[in-house]
Amino acid sequence: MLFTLPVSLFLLTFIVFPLFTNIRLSLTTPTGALTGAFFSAMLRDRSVWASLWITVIYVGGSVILQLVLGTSVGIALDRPIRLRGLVRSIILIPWVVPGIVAATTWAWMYHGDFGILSRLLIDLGIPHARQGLLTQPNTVLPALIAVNVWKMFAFVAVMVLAGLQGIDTTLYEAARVDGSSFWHELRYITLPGLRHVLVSILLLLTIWGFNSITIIFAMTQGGPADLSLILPLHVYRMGFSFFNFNAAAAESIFLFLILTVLIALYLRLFAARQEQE
Amino acid sequence: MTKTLVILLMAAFSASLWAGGSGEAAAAKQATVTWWAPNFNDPRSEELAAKFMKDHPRIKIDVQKTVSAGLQDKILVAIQSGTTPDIIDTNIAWTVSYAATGQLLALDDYIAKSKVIDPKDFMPGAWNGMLYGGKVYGIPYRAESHAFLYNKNMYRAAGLDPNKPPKTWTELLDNAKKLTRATGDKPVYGVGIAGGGEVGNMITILVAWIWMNGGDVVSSDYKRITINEPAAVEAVTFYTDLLTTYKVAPPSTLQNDGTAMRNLFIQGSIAQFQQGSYAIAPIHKDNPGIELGYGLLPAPEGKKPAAVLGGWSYIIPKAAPSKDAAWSFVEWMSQTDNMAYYTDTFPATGAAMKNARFSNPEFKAFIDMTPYARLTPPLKGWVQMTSIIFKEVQAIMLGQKTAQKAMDDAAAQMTALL
Repeated sequence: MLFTLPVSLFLLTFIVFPLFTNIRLSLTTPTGALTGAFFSAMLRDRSVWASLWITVIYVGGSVILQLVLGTSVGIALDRPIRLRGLVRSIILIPWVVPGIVAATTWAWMYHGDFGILSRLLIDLGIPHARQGLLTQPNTVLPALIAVNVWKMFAFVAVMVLAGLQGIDTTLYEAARVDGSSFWHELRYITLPGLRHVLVSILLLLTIWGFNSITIIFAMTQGGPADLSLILPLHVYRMGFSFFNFNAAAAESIFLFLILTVLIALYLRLFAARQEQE
Repeated sequence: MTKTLVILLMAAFSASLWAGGSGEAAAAKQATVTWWAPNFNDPRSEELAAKFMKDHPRIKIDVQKTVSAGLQDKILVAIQSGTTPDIIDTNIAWTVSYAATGQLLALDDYIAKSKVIDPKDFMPGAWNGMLYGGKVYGIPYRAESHAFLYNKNMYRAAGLDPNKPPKTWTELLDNAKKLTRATGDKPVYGVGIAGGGEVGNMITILVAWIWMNGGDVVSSDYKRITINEPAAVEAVTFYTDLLTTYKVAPPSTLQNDGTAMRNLFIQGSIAQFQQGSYAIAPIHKDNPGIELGYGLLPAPEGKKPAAVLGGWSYIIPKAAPSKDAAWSFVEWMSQTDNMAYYTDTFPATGAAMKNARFSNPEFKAFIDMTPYARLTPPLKGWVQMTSIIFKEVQAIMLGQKTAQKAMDDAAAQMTALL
């Protein structure tokens, strides 16, 4: 009991206390009276729902592409190719670069007037790019998702690579004796063997996606016209730009509940699958 | 055993701190003035405090540096908590909202007796920003506004007279059209306007244009939003038309704030824009080849220019422990030479403006603009309102809404914040 005291105190101070302060903040007026006004105002605020939808597209798009790209790269790097160690290290660079540095660099590359990416697209015969990919309603989210995928796919690849080491090689040998193709091996051995790893990654990517503001904060601040304003950024703005702490607290509790439901769903899905096995 | 020892030691240590603190306060006979000064005035704040203390051995100035992030709220919390510094450097646009809390010291009695402070010598826009309920709650020391900047080399290349900056919106547009070369490997645009990035950069330009056209964001009694009325909508339309209809502003406008516009100007991608005097140094440094031209901000035909007034002032909270000593320092800081030395841009009085520091001819347009400058409305929800205007103007630039519709939507959201 005594040994867990420091940890318990730490958890109380830095996790439980802020959480409950936040809940209290979202439910009380500045004078201390209990109120549901902040929640009802939030639910009526159309910009909150617009932000939620943008968040779903941003996180959903990012997670799917991160998983597909990361898993492919992970599997590819497991094969005996030349300079494998070097390639594995290089692939990790985007993940290691600090988020704010990466995001700012990408923002400049996307800029319509001095961005190298826009230059490239214009030279390829897409004059549309002159306006800048971050300032057009149709391209801003894909452009941001691309950066997020670029930033995180290496993490998925590394985790998949680790997961692959745990698959019994005799399974592949047996399959090859039976004359199976690469795609058969992938479908019936590799992916099922990676399921635990993939579910964990999916969970982490979703949580990180919902909580991440670095990339969007540094690149568009939610613009143009709030078209990339994800919910965490909405909370940030409400709290630290407008000093509306009660409303910001209500929104963050809302975000917290959405994430909790999502995680519960994942775990349920995963647990159910496990029982079947 | 050791644990007990550590705890005892810690207890003894904190007790000695406690005793030391109170003993020192009791022994001190001199007054201590705590002064919150912004970090961008460092080290001038320290130098002036040291100079003052040399002449006034009975007053000790404790300079505490503040940072811009969250400062507006931090000051509000401080003056309301009752535990306050004696002098606070604040943005002049915030003074009235602090005075409205009833926690600021009215300075009228001090001013009446003062031989240094002459209200008539202060820039009217800045001085009026200190008034609340007929009393004075702050002493301005810094005032500045935007002026018009243009590239004389590009004027010559386009066949325009390099010594004739545009005076009206029509001239601005005509020049911009002649300067724009949107095709080719390195396109050039006639004018830069802020359309993205920092919210404040767009607001500083756009609100001034609304004022010039006879409109306003809010009625003079602060009870009604007026940004969707004809004069304001006309100004917003002209602003956004430069991008959408006339295409004389760069396509990247939605990504450009003040810094981005200056970079475009430096690399020769835009020929004209407006900004504060702080733009001069980086332009000369990064592209010495540009021959800079200056002018007053162009105004609509037959109307006067306007600009948003920026600046800083000193306030003394009611709960300040050493009010008299605080005032003597404020008064000393307001002496012509000290004010001229302390300000980052320009001083708030006519006398200080005569200082040699401001005689650089490149400053002339900026100094000439200051009489036309005034403060943004002292509303509690102003920051949130600016973010609404910003978003709606972007919607116009994206072609999602007409100017009238966007400003109607903005007015509806802003009214909820009044």
